[in-house]
Amino acid sequence: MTTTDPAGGITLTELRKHYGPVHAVNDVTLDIPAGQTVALLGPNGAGKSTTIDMLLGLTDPDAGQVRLCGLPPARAARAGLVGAMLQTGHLLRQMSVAELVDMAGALYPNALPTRECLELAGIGHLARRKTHKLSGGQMQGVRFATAIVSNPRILVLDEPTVAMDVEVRRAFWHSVRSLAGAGKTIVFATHYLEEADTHADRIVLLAGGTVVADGATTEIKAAVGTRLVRATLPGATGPQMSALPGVTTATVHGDTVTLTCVDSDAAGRALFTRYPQARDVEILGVSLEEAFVHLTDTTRTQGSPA
Amino acid sequence: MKYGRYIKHEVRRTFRNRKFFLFSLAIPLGLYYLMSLGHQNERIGVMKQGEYYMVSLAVWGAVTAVVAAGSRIAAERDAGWNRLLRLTALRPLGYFTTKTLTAYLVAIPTLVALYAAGAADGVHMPAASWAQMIGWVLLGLLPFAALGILLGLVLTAESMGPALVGVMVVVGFLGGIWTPVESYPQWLRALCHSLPSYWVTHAGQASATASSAMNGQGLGVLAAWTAGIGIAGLLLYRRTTRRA
Repeated sequence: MTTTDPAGGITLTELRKHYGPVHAVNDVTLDIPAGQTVALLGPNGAGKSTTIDMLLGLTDPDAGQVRLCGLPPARAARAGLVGAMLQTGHLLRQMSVAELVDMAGALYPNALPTRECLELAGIGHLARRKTHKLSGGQMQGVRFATAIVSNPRILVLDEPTVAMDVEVRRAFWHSVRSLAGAGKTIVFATHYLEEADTHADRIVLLAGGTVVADGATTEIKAAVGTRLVRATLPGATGPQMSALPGVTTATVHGDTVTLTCVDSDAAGRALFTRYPQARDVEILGVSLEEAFVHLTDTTRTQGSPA
Repeated sequence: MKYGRYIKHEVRRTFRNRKFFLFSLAIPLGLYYLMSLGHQNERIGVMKQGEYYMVSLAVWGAVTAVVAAGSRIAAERDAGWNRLLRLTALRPLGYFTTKTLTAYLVAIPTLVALYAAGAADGVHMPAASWAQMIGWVLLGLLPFAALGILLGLVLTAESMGPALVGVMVVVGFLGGIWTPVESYPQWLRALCHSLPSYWVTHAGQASATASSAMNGQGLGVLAAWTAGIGIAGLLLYRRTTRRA
């Protein structure tokens, strides 16, 4: 499972990109086998879009290498192997939805028939609608159709569900899952943990431009930790707190320490044993969402010494 | 044609934009009637006024139509379309070819409308002169098609409008659309002769009077400008499809 299939996989090797002093992406290495659905999860500014732009060849990395189906991105794109739904922009005007998708399809060697593509994207009923008379969610549906019209091996979706209402979103994921079932390699960026959890085989958690966790959804849950221990403990330091058993990350704000834990019992016991002066101790169950926010915040704090 | 279906959609999309025809068709046609009606047989140099303005305004409108391709390119870039193009099989040269062909197809109604208006108004030329004129005008549009693409890749959709008007004014004046450049002072004439706007207009006008329409200098100027602008455009194309 972990070896790259040159026929459909993605390999990112030590990718780096900085804009001025900001390291947007710092040493990202990923090996995505053909047919896997991967979520790139992270808050805004985590490096998701920059990673995706480099993956697609829209931005050149400062260092590192990208291979799609064993090819450099530009060559893979020319062969019609890559489809992408990008975040930016709107749709061309003075056209119907079917015309726009047909126009995009005309630029690929093995494009799907337009009708079939629209049905697959779940927007068959919008075929004759003008592109400027669509809701935000419907526009996303059209973008999705232009991404799959080339019948690509690799499908890249940058925050695809933004602006989609519940109904459209459900139809969208239904389409994505059927494409995954057909063996496409799919990478999608999101900042919704729930989406990653529900629709991906694997989650890559990005923060501050680096991969902070990478694994199956269950592994990520275990690694992130879903309980918080909070206490008042004057003089505590981050490294001391992180060293406690069962703790994944620790933050110290003034006298308050917050520990994200995979084993809150062990962490609590150790805290009392080693630091009897600790008081106001609370143990809280938190959602994976909150734990994830906490984890990425912590990484960012540690990443910048300011 | 490899990207025929793509070009078909581009052309159809352009024809749906009524505002586009205001500049490239309605204004040249209206000006033709304004300048020539009732004065068809008065003389401008060796030409009858009707002929002169038919030929010149057809060139002017066609130049406007091909440069206006840049407005669509700027809007497409704004929509993120060029980023999407990067992920297709369309390569830079293919992009330039499709854009140029689209620009030409969109300019044809202007030429047809002006020539039809002129013919209906009593402009008579032998078939060979019509053919020669149309041939030279189509060739002479090439640097302007390249200019339209270049401007579209550099400018925003908002700044394309003023830029287009600027090109129309410069071409009108330095190309000899309104009055023959032969009446200009020597230094200005020399400037005009170094620009493609003069040669495309001159080729049309000279064809109509059966005099020598094109020479080595003219071809050299057209080729140099087409090559210079074209190469600059190709270099820019790669850059503009990226996020800054």
